[in-house]
Amino acid sequence: MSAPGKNYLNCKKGFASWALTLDHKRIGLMYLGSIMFFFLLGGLFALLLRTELLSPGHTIMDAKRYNQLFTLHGAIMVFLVIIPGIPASLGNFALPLMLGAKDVAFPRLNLLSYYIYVLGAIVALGSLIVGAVDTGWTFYMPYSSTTDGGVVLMVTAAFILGFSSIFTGLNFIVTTHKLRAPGMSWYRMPLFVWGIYATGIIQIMATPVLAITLLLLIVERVVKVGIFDPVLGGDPVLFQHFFWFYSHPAVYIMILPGMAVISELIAVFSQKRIFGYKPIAYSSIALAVLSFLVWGHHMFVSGQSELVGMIFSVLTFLVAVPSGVKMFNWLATMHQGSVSLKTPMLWALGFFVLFAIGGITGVFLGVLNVDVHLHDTYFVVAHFHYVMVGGTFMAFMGGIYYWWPKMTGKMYSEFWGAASAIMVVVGFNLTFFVQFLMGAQGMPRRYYNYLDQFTIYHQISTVGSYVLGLGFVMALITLLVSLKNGKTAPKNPWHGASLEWTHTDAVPIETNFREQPVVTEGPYEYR
Amino acid sequence: MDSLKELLAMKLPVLSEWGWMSNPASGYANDFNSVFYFLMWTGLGLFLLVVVPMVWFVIKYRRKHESQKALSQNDHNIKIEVIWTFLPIAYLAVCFIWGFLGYLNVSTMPMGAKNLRVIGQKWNWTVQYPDEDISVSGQGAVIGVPQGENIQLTMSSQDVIHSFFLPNFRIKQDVLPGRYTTLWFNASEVGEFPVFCAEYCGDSHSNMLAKVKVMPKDEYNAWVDGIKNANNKLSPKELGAKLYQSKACVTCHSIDGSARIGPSFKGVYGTTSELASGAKVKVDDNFIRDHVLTPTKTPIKGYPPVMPSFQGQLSESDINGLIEFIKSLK
Repeated sequence: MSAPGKNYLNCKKGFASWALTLDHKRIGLMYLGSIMFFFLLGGLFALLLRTELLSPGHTIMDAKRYNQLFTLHGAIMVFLVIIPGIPASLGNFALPLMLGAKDVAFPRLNLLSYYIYVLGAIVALGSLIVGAVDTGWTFYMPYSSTTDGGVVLMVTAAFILGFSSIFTGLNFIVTTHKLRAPGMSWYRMPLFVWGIYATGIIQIMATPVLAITLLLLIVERVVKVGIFDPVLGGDPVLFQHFFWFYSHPAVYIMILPGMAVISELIAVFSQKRIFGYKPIAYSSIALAVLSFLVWGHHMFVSGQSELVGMIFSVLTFLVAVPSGVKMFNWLATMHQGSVSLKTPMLWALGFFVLFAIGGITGVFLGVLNVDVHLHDTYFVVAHFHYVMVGGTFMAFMGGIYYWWPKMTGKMYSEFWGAASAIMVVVGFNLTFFVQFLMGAQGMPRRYYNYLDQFTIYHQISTVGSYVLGLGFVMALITLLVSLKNGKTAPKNPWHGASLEWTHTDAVPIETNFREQPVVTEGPYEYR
Repeated sequence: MDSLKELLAMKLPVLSEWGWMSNPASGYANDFNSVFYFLMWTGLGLFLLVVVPMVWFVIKYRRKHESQKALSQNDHNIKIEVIWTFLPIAYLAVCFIWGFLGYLNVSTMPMGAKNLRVIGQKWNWTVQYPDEDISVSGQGAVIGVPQGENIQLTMSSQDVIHSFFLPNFRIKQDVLPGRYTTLWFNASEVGEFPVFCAEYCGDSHSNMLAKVKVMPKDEYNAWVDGIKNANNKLSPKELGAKLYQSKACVTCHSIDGSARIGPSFKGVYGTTSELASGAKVKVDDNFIRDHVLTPTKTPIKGYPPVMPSFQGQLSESDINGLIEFIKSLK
């Protein structure tokens, strides 16, 4: 048992105590640091892309470089930032605490999955030395078999990263099943756990398909077996089916944890029992299941049959129902609550507005003939940024700000936290809302060059991206400054009612709880 | 690159500078706009339906002092939960059915439509007119079509996946190597409308532009005659030089002796080549003709057998022109 004054941060010192740690909290922080590093890198690429688009044709780079940069931006943000994102960092830190467990079920596997992530990241960056990939993060065949550059290495990186994702998901599923504190029935688990659990299901079921697809791609490129490339007798549309069979569920690997964080934030900062606990929990599972059945909506104009297109359209609309249920439940939770506008709640409210726009524009894209027009235009670019950044990333920031006192024992500046959240929302809308207009008018995506008449839209979007970038940098600086200057955090600054707030020290000890918590009620009983 | 600059200055007709949509150029595009605007206005309604209460709750239930408790701990209300689960399903059903009807319209090719053949390749479009026996191609190609007629495009790709996108007609279809896909439209408005490639295809993806020029029938006929005459007026050598560009021979065959995917045309006429089979052949009129029409029969040693057949794409005078052009490259 830890002595008083000792916590998981100061109980052991030195590089090895971090590099070889089996503590889920430390591994979570290591993930958080790595993910934020790649977020800044991917964000820097985004700003370079937006700067290039200030004027048609050459602004600061040539077409080849531009194509490489949007590929890198996409690949880094998808595979190194948003997919691991919330589960690997916040999930690792909070999930065992919320369940009243000492650690995850397989601590060594947890550390291994972190190093697999690092290995994948190194291989991905290594592909830059061989030659930057210019295929887009989707690696569509047969283009990706004709282009030179480090396609094989980049694909190998995605393959490796997949294993990190599978192991993390597996760990959380087993932890949820086996390590709940006495009295912690399934319906007494915080909704964050439900969300991460549903995410885990997708991770272990969908990711192997990506691995198989990428392996086939490598086999085709290296050994010249015709699978996807028509020159060798393959079928390029088959690649798209395989690819989206993973990559659509992956969208839910990205958004479900975001929704999971929001459920916590809305309840705690309204000091009110979450409205519709079971519908929210089940809607996470429903989304996980439905996510496997809608991949074809990325392919309405790919040449797949009309009947298939119709079926995928119907299934796609079904996804909107559980997403809507969550939105309405969060809204009802705030009704008659005691609503506090602390920084984490501001991120959550930002999520609420941006995700609403992302969801509604998703309906446009699910409508068959409307998608025929909007497919591969800036409308799609705007839509998925509203969901992925406006949704997932806003929730991620909210979650970091929410658990930061528990992670570090420090309180940050409310003023700067709030200012950066507002700046991100303003900058985000400036960047991406005009992209809906451009896209609806017909501006295709992945365009280095564009018709003169789109210039003004692109310029607004670029200016917005600078505001957005500054907002995110401010948000991260605010956190870093708190490490040095922040006030010491109390044990439960937000009056949370789940175990990580009620039963741990201000900064938890290495084994989390001084004595085994026994659960007698739900996680949202505020008094 | 000046021609590209000119091309980028082309207008995508838009009613107002800040309009949501570009001008519709067909009956279908008008139908499309109804669905789109329905989604837009109901979408705006839905947005307000969630965001207005959010703002209202934040103001009304704002925590005024640190120890303020929630007014209630109510966590369910079956009636309202049933409404917000099932009402959206009804709304989504309307969206689906409307969009499905439009999709049926786009994907059902009309009987007896005028057929054009579209070939996508890095990084331009070729459109062949079987009825008129002409073709247009190259970056910025002007694709003339008669107003008010059903036009069917039968499309395939020479290399990677492209996508033929006509924003003013609200239609788009991927163009694949190794199979045909189809698209149709019936232009109601006279004018010039841009064609974009919408599937990323490499370095010059964003320059893979063309224009559809919609003309009244008689003007269209004059346009076709103009293209025929322009070709007839050319000397065979000039015609060959034009085809060398527009049929993309240039992609694989240089005219300065440098090696590309295939042998250079410079000085090749009259020489003896070795086939992959080991046989020696003289590069003469008949060899060039056969090799252009059925390249797989006579693969040349040392080069990958990737040349596509131009059977049916070249008239007699086109082939003569190409031979004269190659002959002239001493």
